[in-house]
Amino acid sequence: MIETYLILVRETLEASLLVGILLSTLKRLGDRKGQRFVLMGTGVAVVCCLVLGLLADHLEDFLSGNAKNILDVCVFFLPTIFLSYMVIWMAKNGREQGGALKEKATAAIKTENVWILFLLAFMGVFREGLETVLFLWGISLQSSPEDSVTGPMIAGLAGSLTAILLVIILFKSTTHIPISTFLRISSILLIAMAGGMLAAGTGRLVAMGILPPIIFQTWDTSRILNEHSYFGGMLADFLGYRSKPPLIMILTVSVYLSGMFLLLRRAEQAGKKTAL
Amino acid sequence: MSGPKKAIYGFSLLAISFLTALPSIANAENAPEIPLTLQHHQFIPEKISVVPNKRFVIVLENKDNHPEEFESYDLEFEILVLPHKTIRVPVRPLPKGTYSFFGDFHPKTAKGTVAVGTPSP
Repeated sequence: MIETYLILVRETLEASLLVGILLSTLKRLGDRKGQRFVLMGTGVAVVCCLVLGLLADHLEDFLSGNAKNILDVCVFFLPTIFLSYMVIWMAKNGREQGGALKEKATAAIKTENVWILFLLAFMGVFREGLETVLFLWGISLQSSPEDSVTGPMIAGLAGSLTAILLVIILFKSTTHIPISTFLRISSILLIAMAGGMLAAGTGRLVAMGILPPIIFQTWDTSRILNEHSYFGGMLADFLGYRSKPPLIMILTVSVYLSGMFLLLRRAEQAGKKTAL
Repeated sequence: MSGPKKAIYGFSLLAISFLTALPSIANAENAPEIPLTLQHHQFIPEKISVVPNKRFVIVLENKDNHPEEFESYDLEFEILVLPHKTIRVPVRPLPKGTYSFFGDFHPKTAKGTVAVGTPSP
């Protein structure tokens, strides 16, 4: 029962943290439309997960087959691209937001950015949500007497709720942090998450034989932090932590992170110039 | 703004072209099949042995009345297996070593390893 609770806390925490960062950042930027699209993406994803969960019995080919594999790779790589785009956009435009230029900058949010927000929220929630729904569906399948089903079911739902509440409390408590600090922290978090998804996506491509690993297991830190521990597992799913990463994964992530660092600095400088 | 936008389109196109090539690559034909069963949220056997640098396919049958997510960080897969269904998981050629896999929905009990290059006891 406690295991069920903890699994669902973790699954839900991953998705709701992404949505939480997106929503609170957009709120800080005064972007109402963006917030609406994040919520829409979240809602559509939840509905999709529920529908897929209900139909799971008829969807074996999709859920266990190659289609899911391809979808997984998309859901790793596309958010990496979208998150990077969003962070750079924030660096360019966020600077003006605190001051008098707020309205102008809000008007600069273009339609395509809004759909990127929609897709980001959708993909983040869909990935974890599908697992959550199938897990709960599994609980409901247990053929033993009724009382043994309701217990775990409640534990599971309580787990999801706990995670959502935790995220809400976390972001409610950030309202007094100055906007520039807040944007910096949320940018770093979003880049770290994007790096994590890039790592996971790269790993998947190596497993599929599309990318060469160069060195299959470059080092082994599993004695220090193992993915099979609760915390390690959370780091693995959320930030792409791997105790035995292939060299290609280390390379792609370091190239990505240093590239982002340079791009961000340039974007911030460009932002400063336009703000003057 | 045109720079990043172009980059997005470029990356997305690249990604899509990669992905359309996937099914053909992922198909591991005439690779040896390694049977694996999931029962009472446990893998049977818990240790499978294969030879190094040869591709193989794990054929996992879920005998439980519960879906499971067959997952491995070492081998980078994450595949749902529905109750009373069987999935095929192609695995790339592996260097000698031990690689763990688990069931993400029951990580306490559903644990196993692939031993590469070590003879089975």
